[in-house]
Amino acid sequence: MPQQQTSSPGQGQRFDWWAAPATATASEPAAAPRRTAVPVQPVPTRPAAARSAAPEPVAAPLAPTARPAAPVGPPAVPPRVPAAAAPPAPAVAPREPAPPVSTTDSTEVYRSVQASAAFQDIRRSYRAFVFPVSGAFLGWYLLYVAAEAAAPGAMRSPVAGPLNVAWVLGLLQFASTFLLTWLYARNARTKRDRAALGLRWDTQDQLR
Amino acid sequence: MTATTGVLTTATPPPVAPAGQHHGLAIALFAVIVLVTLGITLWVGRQGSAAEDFYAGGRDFTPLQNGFALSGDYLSAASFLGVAGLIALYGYDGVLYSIGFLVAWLVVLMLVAELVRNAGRYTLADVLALRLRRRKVRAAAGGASVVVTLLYLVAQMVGAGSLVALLLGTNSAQARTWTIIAVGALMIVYVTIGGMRATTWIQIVKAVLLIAGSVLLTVLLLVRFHGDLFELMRQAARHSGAGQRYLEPGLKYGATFTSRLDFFSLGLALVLGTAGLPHILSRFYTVPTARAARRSTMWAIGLVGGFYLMAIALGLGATALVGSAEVRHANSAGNTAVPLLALVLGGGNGSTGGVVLFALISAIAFATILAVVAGLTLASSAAFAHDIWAGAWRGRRRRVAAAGTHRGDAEEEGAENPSEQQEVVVARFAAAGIGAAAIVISLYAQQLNVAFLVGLAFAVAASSNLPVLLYSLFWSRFTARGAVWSVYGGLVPAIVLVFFSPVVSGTKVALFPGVDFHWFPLENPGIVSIPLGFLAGWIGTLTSPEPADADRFAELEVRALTGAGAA
Repeated sequence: MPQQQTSSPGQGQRFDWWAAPATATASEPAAAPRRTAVPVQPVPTRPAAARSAAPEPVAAPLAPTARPAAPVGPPAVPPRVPAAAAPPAPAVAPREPAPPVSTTDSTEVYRSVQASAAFQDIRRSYRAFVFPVSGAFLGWYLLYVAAEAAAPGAMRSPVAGPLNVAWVLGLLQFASTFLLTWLYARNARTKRDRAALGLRWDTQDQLR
Repeated sequence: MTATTGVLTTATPPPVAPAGQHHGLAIALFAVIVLVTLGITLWVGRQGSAAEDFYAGGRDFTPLQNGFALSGDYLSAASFLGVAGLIALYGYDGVLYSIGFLVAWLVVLMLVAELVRNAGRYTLADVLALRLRRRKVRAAAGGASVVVTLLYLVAQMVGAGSLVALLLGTNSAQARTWTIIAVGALMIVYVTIGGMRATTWIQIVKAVLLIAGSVLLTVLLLVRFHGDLFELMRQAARHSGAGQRYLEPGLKYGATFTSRLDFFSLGLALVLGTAGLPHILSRFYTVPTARAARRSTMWAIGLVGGFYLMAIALGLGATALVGSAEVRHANSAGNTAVPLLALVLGGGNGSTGGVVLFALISAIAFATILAVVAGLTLASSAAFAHDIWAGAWRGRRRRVAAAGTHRGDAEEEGAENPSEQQEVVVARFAAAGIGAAAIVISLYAQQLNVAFLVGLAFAVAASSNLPVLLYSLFWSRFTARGAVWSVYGGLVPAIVLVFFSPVVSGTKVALFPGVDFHWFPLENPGIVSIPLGFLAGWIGTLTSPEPADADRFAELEVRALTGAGAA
């Protein structure tokens, strides 16, 4: 069935931020040393925990802060605890001991992060992929719809069996959608994810 | 199968429009679905009542679960029965229709999902509020969200009314009315008691049922044709009454230049509207990270794409095995094509297999309706309570739970401080109110064409929500005035153009068939109103008295792309 093949474009890996291939490259931004432990452990000691002395598992102290009134997971299919509970952790990081960051401070942090080379790289790799590709698939789709309306004659030419040009183009729309989904995910995974995660910890550290 | 090529004949013995015993089984299965969904609601509803639970389901769903829920939210009964029905009646033009629904997901995946997940908390307006801290912006975006969801909701409930009545074999107005009321009451219960968590689980159950039912029918169909898809297409063309033209574009939309332009307009609305649908956007907040949002979108694309491929096969199968004339006879919009196909594939009218399969598919369609209306009601109530009531009307200060999210809001926005608990209470009441309003509107809008209403909801979403969202995320010079202008600059033309379109007056099938004040030739306003929305945002920004706040754009950009400080 088509959706069986296409529904797991991400190689069927389980979701977690941490299981990324442990090939931290030297070219990555400054946070590299702190992230070294990350790919190894399913439940990571996030940098904040490492710094705050107690290397205890992060999920436990976090659960109450993150979801105060929801101690129980959904029924029937409980969330995969390590994978699902870890990611909210960063959200909590800045508000734990809560030394209130004044507006100007956080603004400066965001401005400096925005100006940093690491962030500019992430933004460039994101936009360089997404803008041309979005233009391409929107253009291809609108051309396809316009062609059906404007040149029905050409669309009728038979190709194979009962298939004509219109059917082939339509099926190609399906194929290109699946292909672009996979390409985008691959691009994000290989070019952006690790750098973005590193910058996230950095930014949150600075905001504390 | 004998093959006659005569016009308007069906070679298969017509499986007369269902009557009698299979409705008993269908009703029993409907009851099971109602009980199961209510059980889920009560069970899950106890798990938490904080704002994070109500709006975002606790944010601990996995990408797989959320991917199913996304496709559950997206694949309405209009898709399941409507698209297959369109293909059964109009062949290739129905295929054309389904492709826009799929390609739209690329916009969601690439431009919206991850950034919205990182930058917002519960609603679309959260993203805008991060950089444009004006109550007016929140009010505009929240209002547009309520309008879009209400339109979509009415479309679903009108469809539900006629559909359930049809599936139960009574086509009386009374049955339709009571169905609308019952569906509305159920969705209010789901949302007010269960919030996002229950709604998500209902979507997951529904999506699994829907995909399983489609796979089952497709497999039976392929077995029937020994896997020969070309033969399926040929036989469909033979039994369509249109011959070879059935497999060519133009059977439905090709008559005049206006109808082709109308289709182009609809295509534009479909492909751009999905990324502005509030109930789709709010789903991304149910997963913990942007990467999970991306992966759930990928699951959704796989499921939606696979589903539409199966819907194409099922539509062709309905024509090949049931015949276009019989499909049209049972329901002029083709909505019963898939149930009729199930009847034939199960062994025909009167056989046990046929009855069981017909009831099963009907029950899945019913589950689909219930799940989609619940998702819409939830998104609508969130937009009302979180954006209009708490954000814009009462004004909103930063709370403990939001520290780091809305830093600095306190100075700009209002003095009062409704707590999140209050806000959730308001949202629950809003869900009841919106549900009641949708019931009333649906009762009066029963004559409206469902496909048109869905197309309109997409057009409004694409005109009012998408421009402001994309500008906010990507344009550093975008200002609050630009945001307000772009929301209203898309929303108002879309509504006005529809009011003066042939849908409302001037034709026999119009809302007011007696009078004629239409001057806009198209049924779908997208081709005009979407560019207007973008244009208004651009002009509003250029004419802004104050420049864009670069600090806040920096915050939005850093948070959207890295996830720093994400809720």
